[in-house]
Amino acid sequence: MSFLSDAIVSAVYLIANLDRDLIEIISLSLTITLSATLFASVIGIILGSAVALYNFPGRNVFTLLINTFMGFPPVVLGLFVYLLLSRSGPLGMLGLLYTPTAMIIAQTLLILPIIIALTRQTIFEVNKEYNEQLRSLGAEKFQIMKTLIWESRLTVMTIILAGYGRANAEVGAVMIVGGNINHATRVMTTTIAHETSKGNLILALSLGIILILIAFFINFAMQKIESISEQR
Amino acid sequence: MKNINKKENNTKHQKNFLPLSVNKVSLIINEKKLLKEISFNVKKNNILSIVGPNGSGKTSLLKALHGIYKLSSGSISWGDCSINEIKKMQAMIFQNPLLLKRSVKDNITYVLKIRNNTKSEILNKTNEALNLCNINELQNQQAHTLSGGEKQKLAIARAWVLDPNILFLDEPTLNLDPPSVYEIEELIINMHAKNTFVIFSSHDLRQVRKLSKEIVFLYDGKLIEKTKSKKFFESAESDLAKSFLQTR
Repeated sequence: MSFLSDAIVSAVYLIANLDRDLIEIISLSLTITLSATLFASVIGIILGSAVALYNFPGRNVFTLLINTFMGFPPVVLGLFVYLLLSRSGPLGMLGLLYTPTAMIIAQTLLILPIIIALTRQTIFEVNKEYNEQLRSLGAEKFQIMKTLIWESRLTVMTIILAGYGRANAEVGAVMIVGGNINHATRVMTTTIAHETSKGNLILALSLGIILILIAFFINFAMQKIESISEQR
Repeated sequence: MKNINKKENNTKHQKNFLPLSVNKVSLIINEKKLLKEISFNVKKNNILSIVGPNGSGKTSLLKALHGIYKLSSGSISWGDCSINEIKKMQAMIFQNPLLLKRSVKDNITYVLKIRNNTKSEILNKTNEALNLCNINELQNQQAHTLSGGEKQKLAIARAWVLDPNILFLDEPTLNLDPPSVYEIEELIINMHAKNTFVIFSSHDLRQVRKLSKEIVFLYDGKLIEKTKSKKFFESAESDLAKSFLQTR
């Protein structure tokens, strides 16, 4: 019990003193996770909706693959991105390995299948309900897609949160492509892993608490947006 | 209903009636034959009602005419109009209208926006429709909080702003209270007065008698009779129609 209370005190101390290293790690973590969530959401929502509404050859195979990739091991994905971005890889000339950009790419690829698959399922179901009415009003396919995304906005927000949650908790892929370099690519999850391996459990646990607090505030903000949206 | 008469005088639309020709239309969905070789013509702009017992194919025929269902065989033509042209001239009001999760006003502006109306057109037509359907006071209310009658009036307002040549209504007053039924019937009459060809399905024979001049009677997906309303109620030809009228 005292270990846990020590960790909480330590976390409060670090936040209260606005520890420069800690702030740097938190802001880099948020930048990477939120950027990846943003990119994956924009691509995933459009792609998932299109798969739900448009018929094209190989649609079932694509859906099967996307559903499979939802459970893709982050370390394996990190390895693929590493091979792509390493000097001898096809994108090696971009020099992105061990940079925050590489970490954003890895996290985007990690959560993209989740957002595509869940959006596809949501839009597919909503379309069953709305399709005849919207077609009757004269909406074209692209207009139907935009309308269905807007009509399912609360579920879509939850899907985005699920993607954010996955990115926020991720450590394996970002460790491989980011390298956990101090003052460059060190984020909260990799710091926790690093501090734990060093035996600095109080710092690791306090960072974990801060990580959970950030996730809590982001979810809280989303919940507020949802309730405002429901009232409108 | 004062507004309706006033608006009717203000808005004289020149719309051409498009004669309807239904030729051997069959519809099979999930291996079930919903419509069986239905043929009939409508040459005058009278309100046409589709009647028949449950499962006779009333809704299927309406949706086939509206172009929502792809025909298994046969053809439907509206004058010389192409399918793409006719799609833009129609509107349909469903038995349980599906309203968007937005305000009453936004539900109306939505249909105008997707049909590329200008901002001033959207404003004018929306206000006109809100007044016409007596839902002006509800304009900022969320559509899902409306009563059944109010929802149906909003659905009519949404169709009205499109100023359709052809309006389909699928049992528009089912489960509504008498005042709401009356209001909706008046709106239908008003739409027809604006030279809109109205085709509706109903179980309510009082309503059919009041509104329609021509009747299509269906039974088990087949056309049994297509006749004048008066003749149908006074001396129906088929035994199926006679027994249908006796049970009502």
